[in-house]
Amino acid sequence: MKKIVSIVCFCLLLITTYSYSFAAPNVSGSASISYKDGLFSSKSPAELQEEAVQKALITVWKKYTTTFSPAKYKAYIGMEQVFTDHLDQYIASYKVIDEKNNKDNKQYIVAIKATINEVAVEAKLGSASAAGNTASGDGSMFSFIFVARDVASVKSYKAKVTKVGKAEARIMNEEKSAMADGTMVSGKSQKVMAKVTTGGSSERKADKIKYVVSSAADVDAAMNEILSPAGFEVVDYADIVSECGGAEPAVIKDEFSKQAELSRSVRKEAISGARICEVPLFAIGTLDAGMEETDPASGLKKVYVSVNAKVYNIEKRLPKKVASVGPVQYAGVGPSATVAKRNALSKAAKSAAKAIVDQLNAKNLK
Amino acid sequence: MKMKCCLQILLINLICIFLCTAIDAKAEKTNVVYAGFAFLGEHVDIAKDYKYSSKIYKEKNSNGIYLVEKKLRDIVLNLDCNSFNIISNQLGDIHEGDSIALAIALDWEDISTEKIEERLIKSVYNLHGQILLFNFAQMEIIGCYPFGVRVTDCTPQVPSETHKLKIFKKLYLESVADVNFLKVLSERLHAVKIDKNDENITFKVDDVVLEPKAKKFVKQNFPTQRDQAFKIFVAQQFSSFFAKNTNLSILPYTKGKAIGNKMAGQFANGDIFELQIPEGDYPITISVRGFKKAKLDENNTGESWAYGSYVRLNIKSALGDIVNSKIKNAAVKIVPAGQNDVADRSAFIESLLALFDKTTKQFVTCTKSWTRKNAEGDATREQFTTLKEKISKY
Repeated sequence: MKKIVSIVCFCLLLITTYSYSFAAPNVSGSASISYKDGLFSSKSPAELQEEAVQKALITVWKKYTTTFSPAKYKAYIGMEQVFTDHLDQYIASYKVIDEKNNKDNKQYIVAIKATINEVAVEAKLGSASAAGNTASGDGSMFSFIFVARDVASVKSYKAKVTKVGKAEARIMNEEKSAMADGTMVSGKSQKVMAKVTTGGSSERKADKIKYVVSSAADVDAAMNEILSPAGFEVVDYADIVSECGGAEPAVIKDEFSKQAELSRSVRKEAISGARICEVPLFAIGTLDAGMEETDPASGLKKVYVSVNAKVYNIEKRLPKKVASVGPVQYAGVGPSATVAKRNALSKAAKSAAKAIVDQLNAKNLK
Repeated sequence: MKMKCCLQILLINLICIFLCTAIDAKAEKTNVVYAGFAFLGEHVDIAKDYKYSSKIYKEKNSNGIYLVEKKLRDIVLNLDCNSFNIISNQLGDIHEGDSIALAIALDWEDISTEKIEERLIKSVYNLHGQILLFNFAQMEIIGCYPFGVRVTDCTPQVPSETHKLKIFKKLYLESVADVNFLKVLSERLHAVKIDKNDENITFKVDDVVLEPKAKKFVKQNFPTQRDQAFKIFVAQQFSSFFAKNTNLSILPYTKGKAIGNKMAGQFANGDIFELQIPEGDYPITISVRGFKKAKLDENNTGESWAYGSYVRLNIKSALGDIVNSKIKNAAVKIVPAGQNDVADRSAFIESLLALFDKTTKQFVTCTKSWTRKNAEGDATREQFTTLKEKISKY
């Protein structure tokens, strides 16, 4: 029975991987092996190549793991052998791209390019995490308030300059003498030397930024796409408010349109609502879209989004910050500013969610 | 027991769906998304690189339809092709297997003016384009069919900007001495074949280096152009000849406006704009060393000049250099006696393009006489042979 379930799951995974294969990462690597020549050679050329390829696959795998975030690497290192012992499951395919047989040194070198099955890697890492180990329906409930904002206006203040001046005057006496027709004439003249020292301070006031909070539907969808498969049961914040109370989403949006962070009282209200509904993990974040610009290469519109998020464990009275992301910038491009912004928001939200999952997995939180 | 039976049926169904999809995909003709007319190069350089064509392209008819696009569409959509379907009235969907786009891309617009004698100015108009096939699934140029036209026009004075624009416009929309750019294209279109060849190794022009003499040439001959625009031109021209002469896919040097905007814009997937060009397995570095002209002969009728273009070509793999050789070409130009003004720039560019064409052909033929005359002799031929072996092996 279990076997059939796993075969079905594998088929589904295969179809998913097939549809999105263009996004799979390719990693290249090389390896060399020494061999004995002639009579004492124990390996055929095919065996030699196979051995070198296996060695190169390890290099490729190590190279790939260097792209992990610190949190993901922490989760990975504990189960490294699980991966390295079954590389065939995580390396979807490989191909030899070059080889050299250095007969003088009796050394065979091979270069390969491998396609990593990132879906399988994520699934394995996720299944080993505390959240991933729980059956569907038993996972940790996770709720979040993420708002997407556009800058509506920026009120800049000029630096207030205070000047302090100090003037010093010095009178110098100078005696002039002139001899005219054998007569000595003597006189005195006065010269005033002035020295002015200026200094002071300038005071700069931070710009006052007003935001327009846009729909977070894309952000929610992108976050869910990562959080749900990682074993978290995502709860819509609107449902928390309906069932257990808490700050109204409209109030939160209004606050986020005026200031960078939520006020203490609104944040407390939102967390209290989630706590009453027994949601242990709660995240608050912002995705701020910058001004559109034209990409000089393609002529497409380009928009940068800056993401900032904090995840709290709210099981106990005092919320504990268990994960944080950003500020990190992501750029999106598209034929219009709207498409560019949506691309950037989706990329930023997915990356933020991935970083959150990695950090929670590293702390073995579920 | 019942559950087990249901799961077995589900498993069989899944396998059937998977196999049917694979068989269907093979039996059906490949869908090619038509992307229209595009300018190769980066957005910021288009107005300078294609001074006249970019103006002509913006001209619309009374219905607000671009004249060039309308004419092109009539040609492309009337094409009878056996190997692929052209999708033009809807957007492609990369997640549904539509990943190939076809564009007619302009890659060189040039005009050279020479004074032949008093009150006789000769102007040569060049328009080069390519039928460009790009696979967004691999982010590779999978086909390239260059074509071009050249016409000569004589005027008593140096042609005005309006006159130049008129000639180019005629080349697009009417004809000059029975020569029409789009007519040549329609003849070339019949040769287009879609080969989704999934080669193991990928090539990419990774870098273009302008050595001091080449830098000086660019500064003198393209004073308003950035060095980067010339580098992009060199990389794109090499890539085009490489794809045409070796029949191999090549990763583009830059997505530029043609691939990154015009072609990507024909897909329904907004995230297609985010796809990045991967690293090539065999990165190519083209170092343009310089240009030099030398007089070959002189008699009563005129002079013949050789316009030399000098390049160092480096193709490497993860294990080291495959090709690292100097290559050169000389294009001969006859200058009639009495002509006191010679347009060197176009002659040098043509010499460079011919060098790329001949060199990439040599990757396949590896001719001894050519490598001796135009490269570093047997050492280059050996390198080209090694490259050829690797291409066929991997």
